[in-house]
Amino acid sequence: MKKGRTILRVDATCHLRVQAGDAVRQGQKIQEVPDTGEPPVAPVSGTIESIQFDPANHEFIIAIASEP
Amino acid sequence: MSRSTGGSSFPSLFLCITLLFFVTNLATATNFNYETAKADPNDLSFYQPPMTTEPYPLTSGTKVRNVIVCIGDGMGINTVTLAGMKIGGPGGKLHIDRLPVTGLARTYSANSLVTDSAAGGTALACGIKTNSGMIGMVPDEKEYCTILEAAQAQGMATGLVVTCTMSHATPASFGSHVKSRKSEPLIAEQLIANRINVLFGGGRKYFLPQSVPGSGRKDDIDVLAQAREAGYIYVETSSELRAAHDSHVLGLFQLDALRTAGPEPTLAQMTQKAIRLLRHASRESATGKRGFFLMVEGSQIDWECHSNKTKGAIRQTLLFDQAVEAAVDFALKDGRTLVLVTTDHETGGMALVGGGDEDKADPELGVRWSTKGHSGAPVGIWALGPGATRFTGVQDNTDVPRKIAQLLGIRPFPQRRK
Repeated sequence: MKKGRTILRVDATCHLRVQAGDAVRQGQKIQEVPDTGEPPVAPVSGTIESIQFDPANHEFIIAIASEP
Repeated sequence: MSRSTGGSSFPSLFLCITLLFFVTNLATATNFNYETAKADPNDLSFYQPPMTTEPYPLTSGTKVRNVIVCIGDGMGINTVTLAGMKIGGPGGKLHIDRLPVTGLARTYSANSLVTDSAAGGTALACGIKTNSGMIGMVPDEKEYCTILEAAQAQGMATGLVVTCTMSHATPASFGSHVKSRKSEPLIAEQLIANRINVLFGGGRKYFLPQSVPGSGRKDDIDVLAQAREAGYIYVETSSELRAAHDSHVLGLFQLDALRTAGPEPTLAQMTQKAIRLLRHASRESATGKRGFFLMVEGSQIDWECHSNKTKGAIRQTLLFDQAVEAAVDFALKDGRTLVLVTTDHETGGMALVGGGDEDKADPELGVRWSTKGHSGAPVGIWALGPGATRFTGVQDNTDVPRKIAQLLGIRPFPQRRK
């Protein structure tokens, strides 16, 4: 099977629970959302390939290399 | 033996006074006293450190006529300290550090201990708490006047100067009311409809209809045309900015955010120009001499801190500090101008741990970042000019515009928008 790449965009205000190189499982919380919000979760299992900040949208662009 | 005699002292004195008058006028007439910056984060040659670390004088007993609020987005106290250390060693100080009055502010939003720039900006502009992402309104969407709008209603000239897109969260908080900070096309329209005298920054794409290449709009509204119809002069280069002498000037120097490097004008250059234009506009206002309100934002400190880039954060802080210097220069000459420096929130959770190795690019600074997001750390307030002492102590960020309103005689504040 071919390795996939999933891009996830999350607001950049709150602290990320993951960093580049981390392994994540589908459904795993990837960001602290301290109060009322629903924390974003990893849509697929895999490895965090990169995290970049997008200033125009004030978001993190998280690339997850998914497992075959 | 002295060469001075009673006969020759008068011409000498006359010559000195004439020379002083000429130099003073030359200084105030010269445009752009600041160097244009290069993009290289290692090149800080654009920045001239303060000649002394002594505090600026504390003015008292004068009524506030003008207010300049300088916001370093994401600029924590440690960011300021680090930039001062970079340019002057362990005891080095920025111009910000030389402001004579200091205080602290807490920054939580209505729905989070860690705010974003929309709720943080709304607190600083409207004196109210709202949810992260919302601008100029409380969580149930009731709109509140911004301090800029309230000052404008008093007859004051107004301005916003930034290095992000003109419609980004912080400037939007002072001149618009929207449910989501992402509504930049709508924010652009509102900034023009609000007839703010001076608007300098980036983000031309939100002012152009979708038919124009590079537009960020999904409609045919031409906000630049709306601005011209409303009486704005539009500029997009440094030379056009220098030549502008009108009461309403819209300067958009990039399609997107500013590059913060030449040939576009620096934040300090835009601040100097904005002050000149606003002084003139406030003189020309129908209600006579009513002063001005100006917000200046060093928008990209936050962006460098989100990426945990130490050198970039220092560079952006120094660019912002130049703008603060420009504001202070004017305020000290004017004597009736309150200058406030603060931030909407801290970004990066920067710690100065000394000799650390977290930042490989500049290990001697010993910086460690605890997050790529914002933090709930209290932020600094630095103040100079009449009324500055009101900003001492620990306060809420919503207290900042409330105190400004008191000093300007604006009542009531906060106030619902009609």
